[in-house]
Amino acid sequence: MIPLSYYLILSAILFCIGVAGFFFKRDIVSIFISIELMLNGVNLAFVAFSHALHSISGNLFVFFVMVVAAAEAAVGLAIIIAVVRARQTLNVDRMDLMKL
Amino acid sequence: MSLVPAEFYWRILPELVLAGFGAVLMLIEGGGRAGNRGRLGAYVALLGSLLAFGAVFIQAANPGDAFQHMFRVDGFTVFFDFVIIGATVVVVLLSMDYLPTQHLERGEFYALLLFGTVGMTFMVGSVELIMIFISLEISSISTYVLAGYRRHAPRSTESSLKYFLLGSFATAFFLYGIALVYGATGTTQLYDVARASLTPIVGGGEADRVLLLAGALMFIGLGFKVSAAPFQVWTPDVYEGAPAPVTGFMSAGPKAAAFAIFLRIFYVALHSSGHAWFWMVYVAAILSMCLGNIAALLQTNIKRMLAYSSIAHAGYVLVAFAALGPEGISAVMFYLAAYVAMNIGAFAVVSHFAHREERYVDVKDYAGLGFRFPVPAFCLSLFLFSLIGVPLTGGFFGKLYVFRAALDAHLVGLTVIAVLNSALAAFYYLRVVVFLYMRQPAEEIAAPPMTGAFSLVMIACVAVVIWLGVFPNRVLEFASRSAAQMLR
Repeated sequence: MIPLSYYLILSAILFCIGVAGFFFKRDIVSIFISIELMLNGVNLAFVAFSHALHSISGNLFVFFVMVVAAAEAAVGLAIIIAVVRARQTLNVDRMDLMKL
Repeated sequence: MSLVPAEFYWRILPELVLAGFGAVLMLIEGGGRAGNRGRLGAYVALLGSLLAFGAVFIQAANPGDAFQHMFRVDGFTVFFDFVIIGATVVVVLLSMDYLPTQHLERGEFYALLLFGTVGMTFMVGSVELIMIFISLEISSISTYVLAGYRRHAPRSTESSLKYFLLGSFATAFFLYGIALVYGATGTTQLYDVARASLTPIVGGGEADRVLLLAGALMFIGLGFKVSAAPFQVWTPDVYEGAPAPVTGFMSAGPKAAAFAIFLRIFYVALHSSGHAWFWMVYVAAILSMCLGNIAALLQTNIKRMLAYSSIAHAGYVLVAFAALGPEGISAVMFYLAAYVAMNIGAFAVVSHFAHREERYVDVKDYAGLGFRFPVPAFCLSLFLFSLIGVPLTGGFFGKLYVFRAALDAHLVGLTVIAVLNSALAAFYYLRVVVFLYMRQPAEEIAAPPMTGAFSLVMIACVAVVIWLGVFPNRVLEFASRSAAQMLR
């Protein structure tokens, strides 16, 4: 029997890798994938808690999170395509039309 | 016994109306002939949002819980529904002028507006974290698209991209917070969480610390949504790049809704750890006010200036938030109502003068407009005076109640900082008024058409700002009663 804490630590690690990727990646698609990784870290926490608490609702949340993530991906990729068409680049450092 | 009693549907009537009209708009957009579709869409959206506004009265007549205690209609819900749907009506009217000017008139713009409003109204009534999460996403995804609606303008798509990336990033934090609340208490219903947090279930005293961490994570997520410092970085760029009516909408609806769930989550579910998250709110309030106001002083683009000003206003709201009592809640509610009216009004005038491709959005472009276009210029000055907090405007009583709530909670230092900040803010608002009335223009802006829709927007916003500034009592009383109801 694997204890709950292992799952939670793994989920926190996944979440932190996502956060690090968000900050250090320069490519828009990679940044987007990092966000998905954060969401999946959270999903793992939901499932682990659901199992430990013998409550079904945690599993339900995961489905909702996946649906929302899919909707977000659809909109996000559309926005990325619009940006690439206008700018011919996927590098976030070039997204600097507006500065202080 | 029927599984879903009829009154449940009455309680979510505004949302049903909005979603129905949103779906109709999509059908019109897909099926109609090119040409008049945009105009037709505008009228359908206007009808839908007005009916939804009326439906709030029916909702208000049926208070109580709905759908397994996931949704609650109380004074708090009704108050924010009025504010948010009212904002949507005004933005629809405003877009009827703006979109044809920009050659963007399409039905799906209005559909997205209505769907976003569905998300926001669901958000303020939800008392279940997963419902809050889903409605937050409905509202966010719609606004991501709306921000990039001028999709051939690089600034607009850039603003949409930044909003999308940072918004989803913040959402992930919020969601992690929900997961931890669920783990610590075994439930995600806010009032059950409050009860469970008094009797820890999982791991004894550990649950308290987990809840505190959850509170911090949710604070990050919601801090982004209300653009409170230090999570405000996206605000200026997104506000500058998005189409002007959409910026007005973003600074009103999503912000009010985010503050509403902020209040519900922290005052109800995380009430027991109030002493700990109080300091997060305290620091965020000071940072938001100072950073927003100082940065706004340096701006020449008027949309960007209003973006920084909106960060500062989030700071004032957080001051009331830190008061930790029913007075704090009612002050937040009143302030947001006044803020929504004056800010949408200001953005309405900005979008009125913006012209094709938003060419005229610099303070210098406003030179001399006061005498050439007396009515819109006068309205803009009134909204700016209200943002400063001059008496006889809604902004004055908003600030007064915020400061009073903070003083009642013995937050003297915070109140002093807030007062100093509002004095500082007067500079950049008055600079626009000076340009309007006392400077000679370098280039004459062509006269924008004064349409019926724009006149209605001005009448509505001016009326609300003056009404809240002259007769604030009824609204404040309603807010105080709702605050007491919400805490029960």
